[in-house]
Amino acid sequence: MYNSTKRSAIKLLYSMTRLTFLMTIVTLTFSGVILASDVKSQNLKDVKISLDEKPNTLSALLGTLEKKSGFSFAYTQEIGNITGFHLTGKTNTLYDVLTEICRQKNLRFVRENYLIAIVRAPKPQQPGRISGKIMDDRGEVLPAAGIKIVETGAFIQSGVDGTYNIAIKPGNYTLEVSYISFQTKRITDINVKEGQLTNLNVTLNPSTSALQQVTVTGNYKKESVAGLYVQQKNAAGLTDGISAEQISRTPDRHVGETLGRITGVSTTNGKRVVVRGIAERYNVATLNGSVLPSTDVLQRNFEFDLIPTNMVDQVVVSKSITPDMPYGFAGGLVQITTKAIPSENFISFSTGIGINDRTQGKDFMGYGRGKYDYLGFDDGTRNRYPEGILDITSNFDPRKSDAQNKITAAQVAEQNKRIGGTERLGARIFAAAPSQNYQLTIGRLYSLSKTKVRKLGYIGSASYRNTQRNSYIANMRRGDWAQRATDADDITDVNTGNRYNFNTSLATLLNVGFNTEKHQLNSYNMYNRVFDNEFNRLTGWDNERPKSSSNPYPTVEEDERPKFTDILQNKLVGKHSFGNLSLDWSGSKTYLKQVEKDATYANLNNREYANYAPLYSYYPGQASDPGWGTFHRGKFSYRETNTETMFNAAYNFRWGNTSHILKAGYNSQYRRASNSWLVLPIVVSNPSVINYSEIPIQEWGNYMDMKNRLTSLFYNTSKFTDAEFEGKSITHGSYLMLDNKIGSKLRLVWGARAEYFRLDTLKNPASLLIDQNTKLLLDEEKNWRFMPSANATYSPLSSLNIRASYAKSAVRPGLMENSRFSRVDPNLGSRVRSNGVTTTSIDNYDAKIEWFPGAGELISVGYFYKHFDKPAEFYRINNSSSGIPYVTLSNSEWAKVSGWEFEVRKSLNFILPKTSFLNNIYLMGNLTIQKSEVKGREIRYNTDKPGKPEPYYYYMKYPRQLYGQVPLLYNIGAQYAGDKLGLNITYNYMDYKTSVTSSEPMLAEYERPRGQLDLQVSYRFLSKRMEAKLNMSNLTDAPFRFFVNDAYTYQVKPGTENLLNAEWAERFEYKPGFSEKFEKGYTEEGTGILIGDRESFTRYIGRTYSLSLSYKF
Amino acid sequence: MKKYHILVVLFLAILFTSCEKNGEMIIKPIQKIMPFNIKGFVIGDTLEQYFDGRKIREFSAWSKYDGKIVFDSDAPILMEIKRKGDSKALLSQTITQDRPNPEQYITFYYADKVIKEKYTHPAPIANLEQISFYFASSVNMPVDIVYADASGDINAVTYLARNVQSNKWIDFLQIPPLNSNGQDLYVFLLKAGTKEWLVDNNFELSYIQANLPVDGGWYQGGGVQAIYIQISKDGKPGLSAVNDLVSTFQ
Repeated sequence: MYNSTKRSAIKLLYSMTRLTFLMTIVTLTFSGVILASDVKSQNLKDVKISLDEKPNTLSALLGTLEKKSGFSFAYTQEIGNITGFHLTGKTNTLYDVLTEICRQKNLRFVRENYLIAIVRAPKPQQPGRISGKIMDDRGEVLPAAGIKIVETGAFIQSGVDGTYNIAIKPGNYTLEVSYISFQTKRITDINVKEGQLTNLNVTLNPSTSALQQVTVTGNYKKESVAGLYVQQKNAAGLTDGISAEQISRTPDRHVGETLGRITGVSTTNGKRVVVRGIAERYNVATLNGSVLPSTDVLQRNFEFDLIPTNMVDQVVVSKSITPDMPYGFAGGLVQITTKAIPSENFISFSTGIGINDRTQGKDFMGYGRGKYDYLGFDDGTRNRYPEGILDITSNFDPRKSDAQNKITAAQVAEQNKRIGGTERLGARIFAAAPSQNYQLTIGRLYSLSKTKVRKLGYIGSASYRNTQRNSYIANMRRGDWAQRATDADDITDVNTGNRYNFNTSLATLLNVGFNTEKHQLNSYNMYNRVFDNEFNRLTGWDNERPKSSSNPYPTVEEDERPKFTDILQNKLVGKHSFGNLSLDWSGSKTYLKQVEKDATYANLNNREYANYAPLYSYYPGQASDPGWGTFHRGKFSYRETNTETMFNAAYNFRWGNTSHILKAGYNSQYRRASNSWLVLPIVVSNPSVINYSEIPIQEWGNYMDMKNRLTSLFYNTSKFTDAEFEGKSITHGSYLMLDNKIGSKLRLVWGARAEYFRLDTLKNPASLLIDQNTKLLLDEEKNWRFMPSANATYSPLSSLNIRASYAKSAVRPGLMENSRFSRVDPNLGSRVRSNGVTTTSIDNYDAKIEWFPGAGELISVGYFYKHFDKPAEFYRINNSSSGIPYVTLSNSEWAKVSGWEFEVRKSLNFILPKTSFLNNIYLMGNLTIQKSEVKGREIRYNTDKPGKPEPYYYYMKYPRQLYGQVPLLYNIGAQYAGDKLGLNITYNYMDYKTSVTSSEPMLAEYERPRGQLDLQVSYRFLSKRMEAKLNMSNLTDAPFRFFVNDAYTYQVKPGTENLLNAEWAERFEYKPGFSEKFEKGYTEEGTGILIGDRESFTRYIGRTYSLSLSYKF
Repeated sequence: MKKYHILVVLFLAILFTSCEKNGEMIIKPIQKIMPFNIKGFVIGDTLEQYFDGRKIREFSAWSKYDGKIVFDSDAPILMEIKRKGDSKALLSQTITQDRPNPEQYITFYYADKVIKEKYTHPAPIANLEQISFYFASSVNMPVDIVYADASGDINAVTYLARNVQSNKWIDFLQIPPLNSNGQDLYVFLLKAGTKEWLVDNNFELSYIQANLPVDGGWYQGGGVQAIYIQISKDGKPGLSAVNDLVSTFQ
């Protein structure tokens, strides 16, 4: 820095010396000539110059001008080197040429007779801006409010969304804001700085008298804090949220990771949301107000990892219900809003790179990749699923001749050929690339009128992200895997593996809006493309063949699911204000397409060789197996289209000293979904002739010609492996609601909603032979539901809210929840099958006290109670003939959930109020404590009669916890937000969670407590245009750990030995030292059996470090 | 516009340089499978078998693998046997695809920290049975070697050797045909210097499978036996893992 300053000083001195020398020489040499010359004009506007050539540098141009005009020019070398100026026309006056060049290059010229000096002009002053929102005391926006700048007399109006934006010269100003029936407010001391934005949200209070005009005066500081209060008080009611600014202070990549930071919210696998301990299917996700489709084929659920955080303006979770909410939920309504119309023109670019300590430098495995995987598209190598697949299983027996089969061997060979080869199959090792992300966002705002609000704006954004993650599965004892070690002290008798996620995410967004004082028209358009390839490779012993001296080597299981997801949402929203009447409407279409292309499952053989102990190999399934077999590939396509329309009308009126809003509306939602699957098991009839284990799987396609029908490989398709589910639902809802403001302290929002729902299942084939004869057991479904609700807010002090609410809601079955399609879910380690789900009706009660001690500060405590009628839950049951437990979705009889929520957000300014450092430090924390009780019921099958087993309900006597329940959740954090430096540290803790419930402890599964520590350091430089952020997440490498209360931890109660059909709680009790919580236990001497809880699944995701840079042009 | 171009080029450069389509196959295609047999005996240590630098299995006491070796390329495979403690390579062999007599066993004998191709023993002598013993034990457990009939009468035993220490070979005993009075004769172990059978003072548990020449019997001697036997488990007497190294290496 020192050297550079020194160099600049020397350069300046040199230039000044040169200039002085030049001027002296010119003056002395030409003074006589100048004085004597009358032939040349002294008026620059009269001196015509013809420029035949366009010089490149200013010195060349001035040289030409010197020759042609007789004037001399003095300038520094730096000015002489200037390029990039444009002159139009060949002949101009000297004055015009100099003026144009000076305008273009911010120069000025000074003339002394025939000497013209060219020097740098001072920079012009940039205007500043005042921008914000005009609201009433409820936080409702006031469209077309009058805003007058007292000093200049200029007058503008706010838009229909209440926003305003004024460009003005730097200085101190006073604004006067007025609105009919409201007190006029005058705000003084608004300091506008050059090129900077001054934010000012203004709150107007209703006028007590319609005739008397009252003006309230306050200064900028007081008003800006009051504006923040109003937003907080209305946003922090029974909602909790996180803004784009707060999200940017976290290392989160997608919304799934962000949600866990909101009070009472936890996530499953970082992508499914649990609100107040209430599971995924009781929560609704909306994007810009429109419901997002279910991304989980087997349950009502949205995977939030599909939305990148850099597209999001804010995420709000509403926990209480008002009648104008057209979505039935019990836990929370997760509202994601994408970035809105900008308040200024901008272009920003950000890029980032990240590493994970369990990924980089380690092997990264997966099946063959396509050329465009990094771009999120398939290159065609996974397209192995032609139309018109024949049912081979039912029509072709390789042991019989063509004459005896309906399908000939040649037809099977032709189908094999149409499907194609196996070149892509087989696991490979890749090098894991660091994660990379790029985003370009452009915002433009055009004001079409100088006197009226006519704003047209748009935000366009495109982002790309590629992330590769290797998580280590330290323990797997779910599903078919051996549930326990043969000898608990044998540390090698463990099932382990890795989960590799290759994820490419492309997101584009284009939001366009037009605002006037009374009307607003916005269009929201978002398209996301996500390619997520999850490859699980596990090594271990299965339950049927545990480790022993005769079975010393583990087997390997591979499961690859390359999933391509497209989400397209187009939405048009209109808002109109006609005095006291406001109308809003919207129409949207959301389309989801999720295709797993060439998803492959393989069970690998092991065999000991001299130089491999063991050598693993792929092997085909048996032709006689009617199921999916030991090796299969498949295509699973899920499509859902949601069409929504909504219309709301609100009328503001006053009654004495009270103000009210009457609101009514209608909405409809039409959903249609289809789920098709085509599974291709690769089988052989007689495996003993050709040892396929010794033939590379990539070459198996060469052995499918069916010339020898017994030894050839073939794709063994059936009606269970090639089918499609189709369903549709329609919802019509209408409501009437009153929002009463009684005095300045009490607000009531109450009303009722009537809703019609109908679900039609159009096609529902079974995907398993064992399911073809069982039928779903469904409760009677009511189409119409009437749902009243009431919310009361009492504010005895301006900084205090006391809230209470009641609402009835209905959670409808998802389109696919009654499908007979079933498949192994790698996250549950079990096959998931539906037993039939009907609507759950919920009574919600909430109470909350909020105190806002200062701007940006909040202390709150809340209580909630919910009663569920027929809650749907994930159960694990073991009633199949295979003896392998599976997970099913089914309704219980009832559930009760209650809990407390606490939240604190406080600055440290109370320690030393005048210290800016402490003013910039905030401590944050939220805590949720909850409990639940469920009256369970279990589907049992009556097999007394031959043929179809008859299902019936068995009602459980003993209550248990609700599925998805987390009794304790908290987040704590500290934030320093300095002018340039920012620091943020957060710790997120989740206590025991009921992952899968059951009537028996040894079938239920719990997630052990987990805490995650994240840290972020940010710094702004280059006049705050550039920001660098270093994120460190999961610093303690906290694992996800699941366990089962194993049967060895409990014992039969004395005297109940003969109660074989009794419930667990009647017959059993935990042994001393054991409980429902995790207890590691001990190894029993002699038998080597673990007497303790079974660790069913443990996964380490590693620590992630990422660096991002963003620049705003 | 220049900076936009630079950003776009940088973006594309990073994107495409990190793309990798073809990975390395985890399960390599098998080029050839050939027979491969190895056997040997390890005394007083544990050895490790490596193929191309990858540890495959451990050898201790009687060790044997009969099976096949897999070639996944043209390259020969390097087999090494290393000592477990210090990973010192004791035996190296390069296995090629054109190896002659692939079914023939590779043999080794490791004792006293030295590896040899085979166990060596004295030449047979007609009508004399030559027997040596190695009593492996985690603790030194001196024994007396006796022979007797199956009556279990401890007072009727005849001593072959007294106070034999653990974990070393004894010199070959030269035993002529024995007078058995028509009874079959067996070798037993006693706790050294006592009239107590070694294992649980039970003669049936303290018996060793060894051939004794008997006068007028079916076996007249002339053989050589080198009997390795584990005589303790976890420090307690117990007979297991009996091996005759002479027949093992035949």
